[in-house]
Amino acid sequence: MAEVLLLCYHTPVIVESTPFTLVLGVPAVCLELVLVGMVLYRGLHRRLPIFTAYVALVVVKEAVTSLVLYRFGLRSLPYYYAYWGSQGILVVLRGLVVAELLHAVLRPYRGVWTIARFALSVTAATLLLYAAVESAASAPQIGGFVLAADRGLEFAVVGALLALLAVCRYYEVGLDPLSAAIALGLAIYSSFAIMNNTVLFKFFSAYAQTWSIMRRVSYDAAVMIWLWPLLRPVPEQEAAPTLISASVYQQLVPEFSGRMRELNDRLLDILQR
Amino acid sequence: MMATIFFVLLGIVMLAAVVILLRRPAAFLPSEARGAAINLEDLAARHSRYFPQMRQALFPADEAYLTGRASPVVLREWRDSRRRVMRGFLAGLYEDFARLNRMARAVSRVAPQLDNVREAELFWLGLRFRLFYRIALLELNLGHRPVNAYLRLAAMIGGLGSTLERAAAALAEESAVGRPSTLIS
Repeated sequence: MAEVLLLCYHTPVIVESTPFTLVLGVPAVCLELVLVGMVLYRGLHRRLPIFTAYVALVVVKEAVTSLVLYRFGLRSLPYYYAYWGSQGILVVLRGLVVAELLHAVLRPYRGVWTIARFALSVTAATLLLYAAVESAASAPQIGGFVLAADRGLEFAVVGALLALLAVCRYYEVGLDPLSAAIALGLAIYSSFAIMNNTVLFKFFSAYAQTWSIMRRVSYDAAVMIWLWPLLRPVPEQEAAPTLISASVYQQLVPEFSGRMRELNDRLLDILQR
Repeated sequence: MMATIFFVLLGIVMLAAVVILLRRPAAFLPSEARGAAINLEDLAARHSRYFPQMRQALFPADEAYLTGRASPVVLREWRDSRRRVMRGFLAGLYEDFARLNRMARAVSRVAPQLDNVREAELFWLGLRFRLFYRIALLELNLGHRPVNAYLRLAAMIGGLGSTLERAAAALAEESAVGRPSTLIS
């Protein structure tokens, strides 16, 4: 079942299945199936296709890794590749879900969308570079390399999410309950993955079992958060706001910035005297 | 061990930041309730319009008159109350500045194309003003700076009303020519 996780195929860190992890795993998979069902039932696949693909792929990943585990065994190379390969695909999809969310929320605000896209690209590129550098530094140890890459990518997901929310907050663009729930779920899972991998770096085998449970629990928490707004029909998307003409923006904004600059200078004058 | 603590704390801080950013601030609830609309009455420079009365109340001649005539205790109490009034007024002026800043962001929100340099400047100016304001308030509380110095700032903010009026007029004109702007209600 899902909780039989192999951290690295040739390191001694192997998480064996226990009655507790099985008890945790079975309802978790059921919950994931319910989520996929609700996402399709509420027609979210038309609005957020990448998010739909992500939650569906998590279920597929559970099935595939379990099959490979059953066929080749826990210490096999195929299981190692199946587990970490699927994790790699899922973390990339989580990043794409953030981009999809950004597009869905900010698309009606054309000007803000351009700036947000830039902010998201810069944040994601910086954090991906960090992930590459950190994982390269840990390359001599294969377990360390995988964990470092995983942590770096989770950093990129949370960082991109923070950039999206900061832009929304600054321009006072409100998130609907479903988008907010998706953002919160992603943040919980990725933040816990960062903390979890960090502790595993330090304590390795001693923490392996807890690492596995924490990973599972954080994803289940995210699933429950995503399910909550889906219990009611998803409201129709609000009508796009009417945009002002570019000339009004060009006329007003220099006046605002001029006035604000003047106020800043005056306040600075007072403080320097 | 330090690295472990650092990354665990960073994870907690990032999660907390997401939760804080997801909480919708009360300040923009009324406008969000009507889509992207902003009530222009909310944006008017309310406090700076009392600038003439404040100038009268804080006129330096009063202090010159009281010095030597009133007892030191009375003079101290009078100065304290003046500072209290000034603090309240400064907080009001800050509110006016925040309204101007908010109006600028509201215009940007519904603009079809943004000027990156201007947007960056607006962001920077807002940030800088908040910082300077905190320092000014601290100095006022500590009594390091005479009250009169702040009157110059008040005079500057007093001109905000006209900027907002011009903005309102331009946006109203926009809706009159067949663009029912959601910015104004």
